Amino acid sequence: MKIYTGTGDKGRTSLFSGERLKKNADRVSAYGTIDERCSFIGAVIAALPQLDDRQGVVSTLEEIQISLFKVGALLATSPKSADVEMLQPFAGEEATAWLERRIDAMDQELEELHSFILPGGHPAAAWAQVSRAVCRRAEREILTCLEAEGDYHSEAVLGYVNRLSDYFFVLGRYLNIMTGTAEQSWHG
Amino acid sequence: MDEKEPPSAAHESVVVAKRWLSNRVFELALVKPAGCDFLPGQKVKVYIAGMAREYTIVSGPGEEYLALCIRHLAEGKVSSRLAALQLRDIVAFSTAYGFFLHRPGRSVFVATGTGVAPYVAFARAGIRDFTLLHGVAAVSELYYRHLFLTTAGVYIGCLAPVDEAASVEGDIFAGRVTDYLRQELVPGQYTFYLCGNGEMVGDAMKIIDNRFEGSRVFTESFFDDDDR
Repeated sequence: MKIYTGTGDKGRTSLFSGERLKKNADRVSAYGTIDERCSFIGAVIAALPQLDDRQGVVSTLEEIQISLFKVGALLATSPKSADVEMLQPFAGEEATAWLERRIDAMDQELEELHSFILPGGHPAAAWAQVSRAVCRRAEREILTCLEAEGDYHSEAVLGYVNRLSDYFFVLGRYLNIMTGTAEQSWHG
Repeated sequence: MDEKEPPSAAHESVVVAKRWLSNRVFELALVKPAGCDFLPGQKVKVYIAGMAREYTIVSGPGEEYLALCIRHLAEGKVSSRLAALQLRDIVAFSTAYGFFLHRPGRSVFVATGTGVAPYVAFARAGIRDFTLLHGVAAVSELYYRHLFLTTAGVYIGCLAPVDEAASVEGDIFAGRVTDYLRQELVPGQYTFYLCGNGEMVGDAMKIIDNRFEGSRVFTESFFDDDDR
């Protein structure tokens, strides 16, 4: 089956709530980055090495991808629209607490940091650091939506996205430790 | 998309009616099983002979049966089997899904062919005073015309090719639905619903972007070369 209709060929797209926006609008950039973010998690999964808890890491990453679909749908809905009622609810505080438990579990395996580290190492760790950086961009773009429109959706997801970047920073370090890959410190 | 087995959430129900709306489109009515809830505009996936296809529900949510609008293609693997069903045969289908739902606003429904199906569900659910543009190739394909004549605020059958249009009484426009949008619909802000072939949806969207700035648009596309 074809998947294209050409409705976006002139640089516009539709929000879930039906409004037509330019594809470089702040809101479209924000949920586009969430999509990018979700895709990089796929790269992390694809590059994961054999680990004792590999299936647990995969399950966590897939759960995050599912959450990001919900986040993307929220951001793709005008805050002025009642259409948000049609979406699956996103419990931002619960999801953030869930992430923190996973961060804390991995952190127990890591040495304390005394300097910046250079992103890289094992391929999966490198993808995790790319994910972290994309997450930071998503955060900036969501904040722009929040400031421009007083968007309560953005407020609900902002804490979660912030914690996600922490998760991927720790995951990158964890994957290097678990694969015996040395971390490169930055000595500026 | 083919699927070998129905998901665990699928319903099974009995055929209670089959009504031909033209020589290639029919409405299939099934007993609505307990717990089979849906919103007007949603669709289900029908499972038959190890295959699955999506069809839009055309019955209203308060009705005792669940009706689907189906286009029978001579080479269609699924539609041919559905067309051959007899009363009391069993059909398996999924729970209802989809977000092509009615919202508040000045509604303009645009359809080609069986793309009119979700608007049937809207009308049967009590939605009124909408504008409907239904694009077809022959008057006999203006499915559910009597329903829309009594429920729509404005109902326009758009005939292309146009040679048949002059001989028909009532609100018939000689041309495509996109011609009507481009030439006839008064500029303004509307809530548009586009359901039909992908070419129409793409063309209509370009017109809406140019002529109806600030409108909202909801789309549901299908393609004529689907292996139905």
